[in-house]
Amino acid sequence: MSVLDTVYDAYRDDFLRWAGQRFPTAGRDDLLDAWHDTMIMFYEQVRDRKLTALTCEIKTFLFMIGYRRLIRMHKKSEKIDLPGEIDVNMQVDHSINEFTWDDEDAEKHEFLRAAVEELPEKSREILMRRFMDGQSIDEIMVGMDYSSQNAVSATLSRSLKKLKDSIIEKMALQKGWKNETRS
Amino acid sequence: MEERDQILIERYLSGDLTEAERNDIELRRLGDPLFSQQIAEYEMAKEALKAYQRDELKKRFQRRDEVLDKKTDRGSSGGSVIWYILFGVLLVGLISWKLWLSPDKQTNEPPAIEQQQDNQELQDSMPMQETPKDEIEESPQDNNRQNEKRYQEIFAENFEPYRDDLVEPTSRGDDLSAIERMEVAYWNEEYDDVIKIYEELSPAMKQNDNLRFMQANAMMAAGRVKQGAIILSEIIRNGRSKFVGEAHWYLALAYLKSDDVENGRKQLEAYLRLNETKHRTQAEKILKEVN
Repeated sequence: MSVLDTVYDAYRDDFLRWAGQRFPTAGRDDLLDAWHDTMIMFYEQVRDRKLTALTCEIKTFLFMIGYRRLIRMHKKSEKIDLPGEIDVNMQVDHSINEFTWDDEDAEKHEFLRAAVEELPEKSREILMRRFMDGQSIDEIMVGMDYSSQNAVSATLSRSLKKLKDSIIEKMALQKGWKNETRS
Repeated sequence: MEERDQILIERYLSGDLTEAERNDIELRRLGDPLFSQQIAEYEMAKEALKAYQRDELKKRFQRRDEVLDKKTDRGSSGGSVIWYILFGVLLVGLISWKLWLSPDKQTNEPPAIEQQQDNQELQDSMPMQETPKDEIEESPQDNNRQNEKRYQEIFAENFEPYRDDLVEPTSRGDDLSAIERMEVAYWNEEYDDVIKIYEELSPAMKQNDNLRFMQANAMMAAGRVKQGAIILSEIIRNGRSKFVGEAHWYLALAYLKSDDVENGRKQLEAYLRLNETKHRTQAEKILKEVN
């Protein structure tokens, strides 16, 4: 994470300036949002091992992701001219095409997030370590001071089940609520 | 579901299975709809962890922004926002009072921000003109007049409309939108055109503080310092433009031009607290002089 912070800090202001020039009407908050999303997408691609190497500078790569994000954010509100250098001169890594901007269902995102938040802290931590940080059973055992691999495995599967059940419960509630409001 | 299956699914989702084990699971999914449904539910749990981490990252970046912005004096905590709003309201009120409600020239008050020629006319009609010549050599009025002249000079020596790659047009040619034409006119230093084109913008675009910053600069360049200053103070109050920092510099110059040295000083001090400034050396020099 400290590497992510370093990258974030190193290029944030340059991105705000660079993107600000290309999107003269964009407010600072819009530019910051785009930078946040850029760094999140970048992190997720690295985390999921979809991005393992770059053939261009990391700054160029990030700026292009941010630029695409801003285009998407502004597409509907105003005309945007693609600066020529982006399509022609900049040797952007082809893996940039892996990045897709799914406009998440905000409602779904919220109840998924809430289900995780409601988990006991230890359950949440073990799941995050396993599924988001990609830690092995051994790493979790050492990192969270478990006595055996079996204890880690059992806790993991129990926590995952708890989370799954909570989501199903929330979905059922939401479905019932929606049906009620419709009828 | 048996605990053995739960552990298997956990390992499947975390990519921890051997190829043979993964094939077994895939085959079982195809032949067992209930098992397939259960895996889909567990996959949603993994999706929930992703959503949670995304939010955590967003919060983390927002905290970093606060740290980074604090360094550049752009803190945006709730409390400071309220203070900024209060300060902005006070500032606008003060400017309005200075400019319109208190034009009483009999009190030797400095004139409000006006065009230079107007200032000269006002100065000509001020009582200090009637100071008897046999009085002490440097009366307070003389000092005032000298200071006022010096502030005008400071403005003339230091004011240059904002210019860097942030305002450089990215589009040129004939088929340009109003915003693009405004950018081109600004870049070509055709400030009267900038002011006219701004008026053509949609009401929503007229509220855009980045464009208003260009408009304020164009107005100051065209001698309409008063109107420019009001726009700048609003931009600072709103705090949403990428030019908020530089707005302090230009507002300081506008205050000095109006002989309002106290507010000019405050704006210069605010400007010098920022990390990234284009006119730091000039601002430091002026602040030293006005102090």
